[in-house]
Amino acid sequence: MNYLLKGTFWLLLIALSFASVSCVKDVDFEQADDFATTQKVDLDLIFFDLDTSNFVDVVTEEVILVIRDTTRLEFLDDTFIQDNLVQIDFLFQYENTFSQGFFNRAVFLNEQDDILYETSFEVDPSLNGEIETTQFTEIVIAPELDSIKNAIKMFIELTLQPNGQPLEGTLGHKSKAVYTLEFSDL
Amino acid sequence: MRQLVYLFILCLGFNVLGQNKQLLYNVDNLPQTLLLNPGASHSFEKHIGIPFFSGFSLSAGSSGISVYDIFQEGGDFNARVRDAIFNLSDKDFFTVNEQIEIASFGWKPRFKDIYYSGGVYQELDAIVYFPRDLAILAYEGNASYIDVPFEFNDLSVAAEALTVYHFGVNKQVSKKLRLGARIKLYSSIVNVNSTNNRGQFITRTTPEGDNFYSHEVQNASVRANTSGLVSIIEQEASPVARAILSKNLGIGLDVGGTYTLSEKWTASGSLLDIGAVFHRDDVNNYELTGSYDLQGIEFIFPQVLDGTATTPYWENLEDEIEEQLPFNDSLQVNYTTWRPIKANAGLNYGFGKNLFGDCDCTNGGKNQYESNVGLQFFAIKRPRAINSALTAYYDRRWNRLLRTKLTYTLDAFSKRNVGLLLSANIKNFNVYLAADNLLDYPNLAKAYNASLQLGFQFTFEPD
Repeated sequence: MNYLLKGTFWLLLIALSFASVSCVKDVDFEQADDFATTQKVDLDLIFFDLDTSNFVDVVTEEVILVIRDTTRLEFLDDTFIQDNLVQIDFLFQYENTFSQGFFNRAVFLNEQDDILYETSFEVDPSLNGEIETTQFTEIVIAPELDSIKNAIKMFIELTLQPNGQPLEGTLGHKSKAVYTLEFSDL
Repeated sequence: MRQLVYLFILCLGFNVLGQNKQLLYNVDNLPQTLLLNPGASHSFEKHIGIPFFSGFSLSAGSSGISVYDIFQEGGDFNARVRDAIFNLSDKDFFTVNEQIEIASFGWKPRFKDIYYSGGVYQELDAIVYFPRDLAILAYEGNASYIDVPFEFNDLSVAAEALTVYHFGVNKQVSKKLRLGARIKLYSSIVNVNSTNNRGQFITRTTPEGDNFYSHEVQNASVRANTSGLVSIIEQEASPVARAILSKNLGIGLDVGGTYTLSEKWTASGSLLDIGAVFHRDDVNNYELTGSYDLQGIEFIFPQVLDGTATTPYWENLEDEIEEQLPFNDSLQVNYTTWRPIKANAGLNYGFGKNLFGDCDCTNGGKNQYESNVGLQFFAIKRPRAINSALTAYYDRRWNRLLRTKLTYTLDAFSKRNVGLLLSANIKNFNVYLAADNLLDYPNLAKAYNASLQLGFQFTFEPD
């Protein structure tokens, strides 16, 4: 037992000598509370390619002036998006060979189909059948952003603007959004 | 994202070559040297450890960053976090290794130059490689990295807790050569392994495509295997029974030897943990495989006819992703993990007083000098690479009571690792304490790695 006591004494002495010179200093772990970063996620949104047939009624063969399509956007309801989304940069692009112009509406709806947010712009007509490119950007921040956060559906509506010319051509659409997310709480 | 940041900050606390015990290697009065080289020369003819206290070691390390690098007072904390994420590479890693000897014993039969040793120890070993690509994606998003691939093979984690039952033999096979071997039975308590992941995510610009980009997951094969984990987490099962003997057993072998080159020169080497654990019980696997290419949602503008439902684009998208990129969390496929094999080698020069007296036929030709200098090499096979270290040392017996070993270790991550072993013998009672990275002791926050070994035991040397 005497050995044990002496041994323990030696070990304690040695350990204390280590401990007396060792420490963790000049650091501040509270800074973890200050953590913040900005994430930018660049994602495609909607695309389509239309031609004359999309604007002619299959039954009556009459011109359809307004067409619309809708999708749900379930990710808008995600807690992570709800808590951290601070900005959306939309980019819509049309390539039009119709001689007619179009009026574009991008509309965000809630579950009850109430319109919460809407953005619209003119799509330029083509001259001589060449591709006419129209780009439209929209930056959405608070408080308007909250309307989009409360939405769950989106539709795009195109209104044909007749000009007396034959209805013939193609209309290509691309869109994307850059979602800016800020985290400050871990 | 949040979990990744937590993991990153947590890993900073665990800092490299977790299992290098350069301070205990070739220290012939400590039984622990037999665990590092079963064919080591040793000065004792019997030993017994105090249960749970004979050998404790803890080491933690980071190959590329210290706690101070992130949490130093003043300055811009977020800028330092960002610098760390971008400065670390996918070769950087964080490790922690802990060993507790539960039982340790050994003896030399009379009139035989052979030494038997055995025991039980519990070990925890974990290595997490820095998942650089995924960390950048989570930290900044993809907007600044269009056409830049994010590789899934950055994700590499291996962690295990196990109990090891071992028995070894150490024998002088010739005047110059001592050989040893140790057989090990591994009983895995918990294992988590995700090391052979493949695939990439890329946001590609597509000027001729349907939309601005093509978001592609290519040839994903991400798999995580676990054993012993689900029953602890979900069924709150006690790990104690598994610690004694689990159904996930393995077998391993240590081999080593010491060769006397001349009166003053000896060479030694060992290979440790040549073995594997076979996971057959409480196994769960998680797997994500496949490829997917997303360009957004394609509107088809169907002409609205009476009774026609709208197209469920979102549901279709989810179904498509689930079909082409399935995530399976209910697999129970047995798997095998190889133990991280380790190699030690040493070259020792003894000088000063020969404690065994002049070499003659009465001492069997053994030499035990009061001072030794030498070089040691250590390497460990890790999931991504073989990590190695080179140590120079000065080992001195000051008297019958005190022995010290001073080491300088060089590896890819630290050029200022000085360690010290203090071993005290009061009659047959031995106590030792070893620690490295002493130059960082004034402020451990700046250390890239640190290790500590200590123990209490009885060793019996011949009179």
